[in-house]
Amino acid sequence: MNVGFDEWLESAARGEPEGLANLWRRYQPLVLRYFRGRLPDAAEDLASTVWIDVASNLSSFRGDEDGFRGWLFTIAHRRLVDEHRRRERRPEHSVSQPPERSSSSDTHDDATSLDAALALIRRLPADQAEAVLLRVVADLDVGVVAEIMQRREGSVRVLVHRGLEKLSVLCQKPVTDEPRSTMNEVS
Amino acid sequence: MNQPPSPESLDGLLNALRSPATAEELSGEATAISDMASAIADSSEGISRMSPTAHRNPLSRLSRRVVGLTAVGVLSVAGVAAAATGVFVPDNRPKTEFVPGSDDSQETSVATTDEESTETTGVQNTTVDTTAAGDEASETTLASNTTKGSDTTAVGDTTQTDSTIVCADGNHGMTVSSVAHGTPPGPGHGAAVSAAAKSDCGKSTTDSTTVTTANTSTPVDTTMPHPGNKPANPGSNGNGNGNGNGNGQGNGNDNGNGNGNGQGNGNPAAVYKGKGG
Repeated sequence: MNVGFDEWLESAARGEPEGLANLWRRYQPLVLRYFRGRLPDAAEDLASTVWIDVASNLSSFRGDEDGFRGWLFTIAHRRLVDEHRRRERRPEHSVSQPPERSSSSDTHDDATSLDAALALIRRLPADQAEAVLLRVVADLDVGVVAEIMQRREGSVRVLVHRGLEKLSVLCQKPVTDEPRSTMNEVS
Repeated sequence: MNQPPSPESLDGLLNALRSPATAEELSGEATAISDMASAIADSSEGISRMSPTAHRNPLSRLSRRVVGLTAVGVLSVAGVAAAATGVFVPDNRPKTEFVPGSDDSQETSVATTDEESTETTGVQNTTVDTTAAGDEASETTLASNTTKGSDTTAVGDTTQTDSTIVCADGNHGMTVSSVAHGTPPGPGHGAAVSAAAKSDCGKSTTDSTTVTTANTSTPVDTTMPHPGNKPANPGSNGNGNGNGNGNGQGNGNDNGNGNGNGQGNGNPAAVYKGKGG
């Protein structure tokens, strides 16, 4: 068990800024990439909502770092589902626009690679994109992904396998960033 | 808009997804931390503001009261409604009491329940009168008063108002059986069967069409059409009466008991040819 993480967690649960900052710095990029792989135009807002939920319920959380990661992305998944449902009720938000990016010189290559990878993931079917993001970006076990997606583990493995196969094919083609899974309902 | 270059391979794509955080992704840390701290403060204040009694649902006590009062009200209304519609009626099964008949009486009250019947309670009057008019009378009258005030005929015909027991072609048991079969099931069925069983019809006769009175028990040697001619047995007559009365009074509407006992205990030596026969 990661002792440092436990200390962060206890500190954050007490509301201390240092503990909160450590947690945020560690997981904010992952949460943000998860949302950018599905709804890039709402990624920032959704990530902020997730962190507010985490902070509000942090005192009731019991578990280690893996458990915290699973809990964190469970909240993120639910916020994503809520956002999809909200957009279905309001179709004017169906067209998503990628956020404006200001790339600095030292991180230009990484950022462009990351943007390209997320653009390819958005071309996957919704359930495949969800499974790949939770497995690769969030680094969750298949069982945890299955619980989050409310599917069987075998189904999750199939989704990840097919998603990666399709990504390998898409890597050979030029990117025409038209998000395919933006409005697809998450299972 | 400039499109980002596509990763050359799947490994490159996965490495990009797992790459360290960029400065852009970590921007806005101060705002996020302050929001989280305020959220924690709000949640902790919300908990500390709650008193120990406030942890209980404040509506729980009120809701319990409401549920209890509602249940009491519903049960009260339902009870009154049920009573008004007559769902709760007293036991209307006829209470029979055995009144032994006097020897010098032409009319014997066999089974009598309440003398008065009221429509609201549904208590039935069941009075069975057995009239035996000596040698001149060849039939036994059975009057079965039910709540509807209709009399039923004991033998075969169920539509007559004044019932008469006509001795069937056979012995006493067959007479009782015919009464049991002929009387429709109902409140007066048992009384009718009982009356037939108590009657002297078929017990002893000097003529095939004669029904003796209750006092007359003089057996006369008669022919018996059934197999196994046997002389008349006065003792058998006594047994037949006793069993018939017991079943008729005790079981009420039970046809099977009355028939079986009547036939089994009847006097095979006697041959009865009543009017119906």
